[in-house]
Amino acid sequence: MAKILIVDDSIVSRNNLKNILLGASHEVVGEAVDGEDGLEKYLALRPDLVTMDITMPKLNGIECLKEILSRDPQARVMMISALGQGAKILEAVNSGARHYITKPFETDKVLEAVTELMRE
Amino acid sequence: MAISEEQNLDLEVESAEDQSIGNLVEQTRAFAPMDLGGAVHAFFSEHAGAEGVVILDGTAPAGLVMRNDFYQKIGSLFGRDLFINRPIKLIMNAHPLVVDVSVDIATIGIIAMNRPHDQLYDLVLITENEKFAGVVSVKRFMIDLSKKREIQIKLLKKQKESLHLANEAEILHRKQIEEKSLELSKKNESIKNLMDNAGQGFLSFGPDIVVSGEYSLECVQIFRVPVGGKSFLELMAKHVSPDGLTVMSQVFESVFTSDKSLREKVYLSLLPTEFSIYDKAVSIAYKIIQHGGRKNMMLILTDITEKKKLETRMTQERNNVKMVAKALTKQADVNLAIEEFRAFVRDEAKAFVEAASDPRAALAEIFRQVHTFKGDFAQLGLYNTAANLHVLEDKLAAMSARENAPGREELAGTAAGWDAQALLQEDVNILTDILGKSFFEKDERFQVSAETVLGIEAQARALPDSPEREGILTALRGLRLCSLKGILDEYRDYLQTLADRLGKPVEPFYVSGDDVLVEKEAYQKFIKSLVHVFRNMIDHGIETPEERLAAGKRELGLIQCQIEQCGDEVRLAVSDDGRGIDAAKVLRIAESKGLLSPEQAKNMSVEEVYGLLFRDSFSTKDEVSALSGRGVGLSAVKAEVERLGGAIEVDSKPGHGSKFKFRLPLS
Repeated sequence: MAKILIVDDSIVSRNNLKNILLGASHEVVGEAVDGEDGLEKYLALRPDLVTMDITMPKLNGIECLKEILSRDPQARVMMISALGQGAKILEAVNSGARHYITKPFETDKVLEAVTELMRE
Repeated sequence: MAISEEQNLDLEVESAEDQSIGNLVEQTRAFAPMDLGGAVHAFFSEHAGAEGVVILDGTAPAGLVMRNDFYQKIGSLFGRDLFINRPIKLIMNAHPLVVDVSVDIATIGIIAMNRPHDQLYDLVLITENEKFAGVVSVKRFMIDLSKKREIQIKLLKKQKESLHLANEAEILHRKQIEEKSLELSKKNESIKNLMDNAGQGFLSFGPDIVVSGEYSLECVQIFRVPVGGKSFLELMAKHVSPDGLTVMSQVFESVFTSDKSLREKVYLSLLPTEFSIYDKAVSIAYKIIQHGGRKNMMLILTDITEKKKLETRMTQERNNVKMVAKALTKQADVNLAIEEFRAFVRDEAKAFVEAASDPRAALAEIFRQVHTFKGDFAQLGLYNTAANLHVLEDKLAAMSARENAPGREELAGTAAGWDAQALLQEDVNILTDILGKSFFEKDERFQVSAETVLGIEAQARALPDSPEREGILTALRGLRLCSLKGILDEYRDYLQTLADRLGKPVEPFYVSGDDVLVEKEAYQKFIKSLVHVFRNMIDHGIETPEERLAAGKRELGLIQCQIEQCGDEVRLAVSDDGRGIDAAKVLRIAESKGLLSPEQAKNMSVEEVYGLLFRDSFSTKDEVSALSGRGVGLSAVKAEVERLGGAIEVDSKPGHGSKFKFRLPLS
């Protein structure tokens, strides 16, 4: 039962993800609406895991990822992308993201990714 | 044939063909035109072998005297006297055949042989440079020809023999090849079996991305080269975009350098899995293998070309089913769209170009139109046409993205080059194949058999479940089904007319209740047979207006229909407010027709009595009625109801009216 921070500028996406996670008894400790907000909340809440949308205003997902990792190299960050963002995901993974899921969300895939990440 | 003989033959052939007439030309004695006949006679007597003599005027040929001709003329009555002491030119043939030495033998032969009968064997005069050079004897000519023929025949025979030998050798070779082929294909079968069961190509490489020497043969089939020792990225370079190649290269690098298995997994998931390599569709799976301390990546390549073809075909078939099903229920829309599109291509596009102030604006407008048509056709299911229009759209987009905008002429030219028929062809063909040509004829109601519709419905049901499929199925059902209420409503006018004619005017016929949908085909006959019920009601049930008023009823009779859907059954009640059925009368008539005995009649229940009405040949036609008295009416109704698997019940209250109750299954 992980403590998870959701970072996504779309409220629909946040709700979707939240429902999936809560359904598997994970705890959603916070929601952020952009990269800046995400960084702040991470530092404040120190969740077990962060889901990070790639395209966001202010600070985008990859930059936020880097910021978090520079302060907490052990951070578990899972990128969220739309279809066809392969190159961006590669960049994120190369920068330290541990996993990724694609939209539209498939419940089992999401939960599997969370479990795998938490095992590390 | 021995070699020397062959050589001889060849030589002979050569020399025969070599012979121009030059070699056939002979010398003869020549005379002058004024020389006396006697001199010629003297010559012929001394030279028994001479066929003829030539008469020359200087060096030019003037005539010919053949021995036979000469003696024929001399020998005639008075001939001797006439000709011996006179110039030979009087007897000579002044128009002999003269040809130049350059003319070939064959041509001379033909001309010579086409001479009149009496000149056939005359000598042929040969000139060279306009000067007389000698003669060719036809006789010798013929012999020569025959010799040549003989040589040719020998040659042909020889060729035939060599051909025969060659042919036999060929047949032998062919047999050997066939045998070898058979052997090979047997071997291939067993290998093929092995490979088919493996069915996959395997190759592996380490951090240097160089394919190791052990790989399966399928890889060679896929890449067309022996892959060992080659860089995998190089192998793929021809079939992957530069960006894709970069991603792959980066991922490989990351995989080899990472040490966490989850990371490896994540990276691997970023690699593309389907490729098009030359003419094959190939799927690739990636696996990481640890070899001692070394990491290797193994790739499993599977040829999925057939599978993809099948998928494409299936998608095509599904699209065709959708297209046909949609067209079936939207014929008018489809035809309208096609007409409008044709008109656009034919006239409007050009008109835009001419009318627009700025070619760019015209281009934009045409683009919009094409885009709209594309959407319309896609909506209607004509997917091939939509695809063709998409291509057109791309071309137009490319045109407008150019630096120098296209001019009016170029635009007009482009539009003129569009062929509406060609763009529509594939879809029109599919629709015509299944629905027939009448689909496109606007003025006729388009006919299609219920069988066809059921077939299309079945195919549509096989489509994957989706809102689209449901829409199609509903529309198709709508074709087959119709509203019971709707059909009954159609009888209103008929009943009015009938009632008036019978002198039993009625209120407008009233249908109420649930709007139940029934199978048009199945219910067609039943509905028609209901006419008998109505006629019966008006004829026998409803009283005359006077009778009605006397009985305290409203002047106009009332016939009603009520429809109720109960589960999968529809209940239809047809009633009138007339005089009801006279059970006693029915019994009497039945007895008189011998339909039952008095005994049976006594023990019948009211319902059973009413049931008698439906017996064959039962009719109260003894009552005057030309219209309904055929004795077949109600039994026909019963037959139809039973055919549908339903039931009838009759209710009646003397003085108040009757009610026919039908119960019919819905599917």
